[in-house]
Amino acid sequence: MTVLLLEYQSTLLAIDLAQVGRLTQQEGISPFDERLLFPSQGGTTYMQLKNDRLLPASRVIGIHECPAVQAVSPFLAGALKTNPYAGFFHHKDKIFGLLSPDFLAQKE
Amino acid sequence: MTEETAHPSPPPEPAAELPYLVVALGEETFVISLPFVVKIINPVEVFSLPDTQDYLLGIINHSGEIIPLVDLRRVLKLPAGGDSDRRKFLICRHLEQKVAFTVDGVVDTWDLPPGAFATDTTRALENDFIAGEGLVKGRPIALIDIAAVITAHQAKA
Repeated sequence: MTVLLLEYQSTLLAIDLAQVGRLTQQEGISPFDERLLFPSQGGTTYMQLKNDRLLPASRVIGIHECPAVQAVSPFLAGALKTNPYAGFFHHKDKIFGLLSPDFLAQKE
Repeated sequence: MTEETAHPSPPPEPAAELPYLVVALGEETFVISLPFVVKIINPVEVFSLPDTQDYLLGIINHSGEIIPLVDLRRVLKLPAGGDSDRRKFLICRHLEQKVAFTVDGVVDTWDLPPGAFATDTTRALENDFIAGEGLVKGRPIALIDIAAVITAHQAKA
């Protein structure tokens, strides 16, 4: 799976590139999802998904061929108040959370 | 009918001692059953995640494995403390799940007889994660139940 690597509020995330339609720098878009507790901020790059949903990113890092993803363990799932992750993987000494298809499929 | 000859039974063998890891959390000393401890490592980079329970400090990468890191003080409801330069991460395993815990120092390993910890103390009865308490080598020691910590904090199926 090829993924888009991005950073938002110091959290490293990855999205299946097949879900991403285009990147945009629209302004004045309200925060997309309070469940991640990401506060609104300006100067953001937005990824427009193929279902037209917009996801913000502080920084788009690049594209990466994702190796095996480690599933979220029951313990970690219990520690996450909301769990948008399909799993985690490491790349260049960093850990990225791969956003799950279910999470991406949700409308705002 | 034959009479059985009574043989004196041999004295019972002393029960095998059990290994424990002795750790410091603030001013207190605790022990953890050593078989739960996979590895003791120096602190590594912690990747924080948004919107988590307060006991989760983040996740760490240990030899390619991504492991949640837990503040053991918060789990045990101990007062928050400052950073210790003897701080370590304990990677523990229970039922194939690995969880890393922060401790303020690793003191020693001890072999102790079964029954070294009383399970009916107030603290053991009131705290689900303290399995017992005892006075060991002149110190008051509490036994942390790592299995209970991991099991109780899992997502409910």
